[in-house]
Amino acid sequence: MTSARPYLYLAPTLAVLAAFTYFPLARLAELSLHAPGIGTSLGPWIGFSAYSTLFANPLFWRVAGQTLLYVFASVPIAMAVALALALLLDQPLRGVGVFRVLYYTPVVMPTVAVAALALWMFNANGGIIDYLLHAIGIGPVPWLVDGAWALPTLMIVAVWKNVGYYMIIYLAGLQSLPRAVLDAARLDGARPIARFFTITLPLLRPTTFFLAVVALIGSFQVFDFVNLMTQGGPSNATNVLVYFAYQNGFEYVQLGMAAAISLVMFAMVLMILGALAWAFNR
Amino acid sequence: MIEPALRFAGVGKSYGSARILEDLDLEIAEGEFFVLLGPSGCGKTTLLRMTAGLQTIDRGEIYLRGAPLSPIPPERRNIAMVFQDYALYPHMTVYGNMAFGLRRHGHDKTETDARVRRTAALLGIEPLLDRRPHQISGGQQQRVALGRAIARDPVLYLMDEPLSNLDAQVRASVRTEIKELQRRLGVTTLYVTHDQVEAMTLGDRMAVLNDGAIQQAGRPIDIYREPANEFVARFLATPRLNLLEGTLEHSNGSIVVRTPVGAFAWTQPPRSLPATAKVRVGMRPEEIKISFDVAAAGASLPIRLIETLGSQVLVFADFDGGELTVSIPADAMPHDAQRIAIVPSGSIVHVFDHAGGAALGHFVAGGEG
Repeated sequence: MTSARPYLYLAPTLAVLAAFTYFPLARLAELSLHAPGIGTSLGPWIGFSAYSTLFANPLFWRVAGQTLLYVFASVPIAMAVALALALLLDQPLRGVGVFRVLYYTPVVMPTVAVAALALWMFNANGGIIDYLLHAIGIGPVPWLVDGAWALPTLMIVAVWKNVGYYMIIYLAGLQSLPRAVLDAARLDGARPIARFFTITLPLLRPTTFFLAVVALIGSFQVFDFVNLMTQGGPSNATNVLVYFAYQNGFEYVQLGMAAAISLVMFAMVLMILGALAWAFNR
Repeated sequence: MIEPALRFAGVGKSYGSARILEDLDLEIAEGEFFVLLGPSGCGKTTLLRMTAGLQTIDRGEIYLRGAPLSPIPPERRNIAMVFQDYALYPHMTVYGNMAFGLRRHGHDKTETDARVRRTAALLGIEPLLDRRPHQISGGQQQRVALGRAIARDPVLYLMDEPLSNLDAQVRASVRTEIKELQRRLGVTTLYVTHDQVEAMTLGDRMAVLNDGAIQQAGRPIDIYREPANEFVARFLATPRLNLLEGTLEHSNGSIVVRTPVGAFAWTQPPRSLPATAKVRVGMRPEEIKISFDVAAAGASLPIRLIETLGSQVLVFADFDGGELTVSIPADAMPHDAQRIAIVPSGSIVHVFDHAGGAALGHFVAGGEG
């Protein structure tokens, strides 16, 4: 029975996953196909009508578009900034440990605190950001009150909060690079910038892939900053899929619709991750 | 005077207060295969990396064809290095690995292609050009690393223990290959190793390093025959140097070196021998003559252990105060031997200062005095 043994060892993990991931997922799918019931019971079968209602709603498309914009703008920017910081903090500088801690601080700050801080800093009435920009002749910028500025403002806050985490991962990646390979590239005549693009960046590929996956999933699920800072406003300019699902489920008590939104989003994440994996393993 | 290809002038290195390289001077001629031999931590790799520009020079200067190296960054030194763990670019093909340095040095596609293919042909790695490093064996990877250096056609090769990650058989064949290639290409080579066989077989000349200082430099055979001190003698002995306490007895012009295993006649000792009577005597296993005709000899030593290496046999014999290792041809070994007698005449003896370890002289012993 040796061949059964590995499956036996896998069983506990699979059981936990089944109970807390796959079963809820199936229930979610079931929920999206039924009319609202009373309590935890299901209403009558309505097929895919929740989905057709959803897809007919122009707000859904706007929210989905804003979510994708948020993800595909903030993730690459945060990763690029993180890599740049990691390259700097990989140098043998005096007091480099202090800087590593400083850049990591936002990661360990509670999201609520960061949101409160950001609300104060980006305040339209005398926020410190506008104050500083004014000193160099810019602004005032209508950060959170203007529809065109609100989503970028959330992105700035999210990048600021996450960049330290990505930086630490990149730093670990940089420090595990084979030094001799970089030395060899130097003796082969590659100057710093060429060395970065021809050696360092390609060798960091596994780290970049890992970070891209984690960052994409994480930023798709953005909710905290929206809920704490804008509640999706002004006039849905910062409404994103998770917040949209939350509104439908808990404000409008449309659990079936919320389930449908969640599953559509789940499918989107899966497709994007699939494309990402394909691109990285080519 | 012809400017040497590579010249170390008072080159030193410290980490904090620890001096890891004493200020050393060394000249390496154009086209020479020069080996730096020493135990780990002796500073030989530091010296190599300083030459490459991967570590800074704290004191002194290194000159390549007369030009000081320290103002030139490693990217522009026209030096190629072969690393211990090959350091191939894992994300590039063998072709890409060899072409990388050429493209960086401004060769166009046609020239690069021609050089890569010529070098691949030279090393017999043409079939591997499209493979990645992880798809080929260690010996092949080492050949690619050599190819990467050769294709660039630099003025100097630096090799940092390039054979130590290979298994014994591959090592021997790649060693021969490196020697042949270097002869053919005539490029000055600085080669670092802790393996005395590599040093002896590869080097036109070599330097033995210990504790950040050169112990002795010269042709391998000269260093082998006349080690400058106890350390060098010990380092160039396989499996180990027999070190004995000895005394010098002067008698009408010649000297007798008395040791616990016998007395050796030094018929033509140098005039400048110090007056001290106490010395240390070094004898390599293969330099000791022995006889199994114990009855004819006055004294003999009991055999404790015999190790057969194939063509050679190692005989371990006990004497009062220690153990003597002797190496003899396997066919000279009687299988029922219990004891050996040392035959002084023809044995080679190295005499070292008892305190400092500096060599006082080397001689082939005459008949017993």
